[in-house]
Amino acid sequence: MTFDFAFALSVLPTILAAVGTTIWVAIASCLGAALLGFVLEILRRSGRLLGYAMRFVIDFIRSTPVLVQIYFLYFVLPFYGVTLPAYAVGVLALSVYYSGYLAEVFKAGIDTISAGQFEAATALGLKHFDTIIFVIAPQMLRNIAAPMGNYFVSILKATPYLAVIAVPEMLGAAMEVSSDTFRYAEPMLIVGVVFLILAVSIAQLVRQLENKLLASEKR
Amino acid sequence: MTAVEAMSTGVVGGVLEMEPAVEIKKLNKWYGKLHVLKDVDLTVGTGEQIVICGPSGSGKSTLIRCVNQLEEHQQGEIRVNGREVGPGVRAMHEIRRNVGMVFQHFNLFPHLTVLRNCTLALTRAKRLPRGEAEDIARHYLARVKIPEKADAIQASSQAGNASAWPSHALYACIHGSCCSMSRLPLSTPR
Repeated sequence: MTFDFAFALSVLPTILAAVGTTIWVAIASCLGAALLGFVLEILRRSGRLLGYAMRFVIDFIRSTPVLVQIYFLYFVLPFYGVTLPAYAVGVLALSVYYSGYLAEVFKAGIDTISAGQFEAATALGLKHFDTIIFVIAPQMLRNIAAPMGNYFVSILKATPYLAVIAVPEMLGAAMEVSSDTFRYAEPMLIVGVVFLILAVSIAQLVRQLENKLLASEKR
Repeated sequence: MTAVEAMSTGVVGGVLEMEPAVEIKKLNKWYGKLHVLKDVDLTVGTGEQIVICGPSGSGKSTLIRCVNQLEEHQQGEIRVNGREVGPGVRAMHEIRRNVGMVFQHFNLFPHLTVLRNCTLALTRAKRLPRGEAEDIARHYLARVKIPEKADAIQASSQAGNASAWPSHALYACIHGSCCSMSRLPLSTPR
């Protein structure tokens, strides 16, 4: 099989048309995963019983394959009367799956904050919620910018899984082209290169963000 | 504040009318088997300044930390402005809002400016409008002669150098009654 440059160019627009879906599904999943992961981690730290329950939930999420979770949500939820569009199920599945990992990242970020910060906030009479939002979260984010960025890249790279439930993202579009023409090399290469560009851009953004955070610390 | 000024405000102890701000009766506390506080009785009047001194490990910090319940006690009674505090007391955060505390290591919030360090509790705990809180904070920053530091980030001075302590003492003055755990002498201006 030789690489057909003309063919690659001819299918490029079809595949690139799906980049938008890939990007916004990834962004929505990142936000969902970060938010859910943070809530899970905060709940894991509160109360004994709730803590154990959340530990189980987080371990459960992390210990089951993402593909299984996607199929489960897509095919099982309708049995309970919840019918969501494919992209919503996709975003939900990726958010849930990666929230487990991000909860662990947040845990590490919170553990490095000194106990004195919690005590100072308590002594000032701040409520638990205010302590988390104004004292803990900002310091945590500074600690974990890099590992969190890694997971954001992972989430981006996990979006092709959603091809299995017909979310019209890049891999899905490429597969369609391929099954029509029986040529795989060009579409897959294009998909790979676009992901490479996106992933490197995210990594760059995260690095800049981290530098900015570190600079504000040194000021 | 110079040492002399501090002295002149510091000699009022014991001569005011004794409406108790803090009342402790038969306080007992254990860390596991270690009996750290034994039958402590203490009454501190409103406006009174006291010093608790003793060798290290004798429970000074623990006693102070019981007053705002950073530590829980097992026996006895503690009242702050007439309200009982202790494990299981609801709305402890409301009582803590009226108890200031300067920590031994200051525990400033390193991600916030000096000004925001001072206003955070005023806006979020005492629910003052942002503008009013900043006016109060700037007033006290001027009083401790570091008004120009308002927008600086505190992290670099957190280690406890001389420029760090006035802003932290500030916390305490804004919050009404003081318990200072600072090792600096006379570091709680009133």
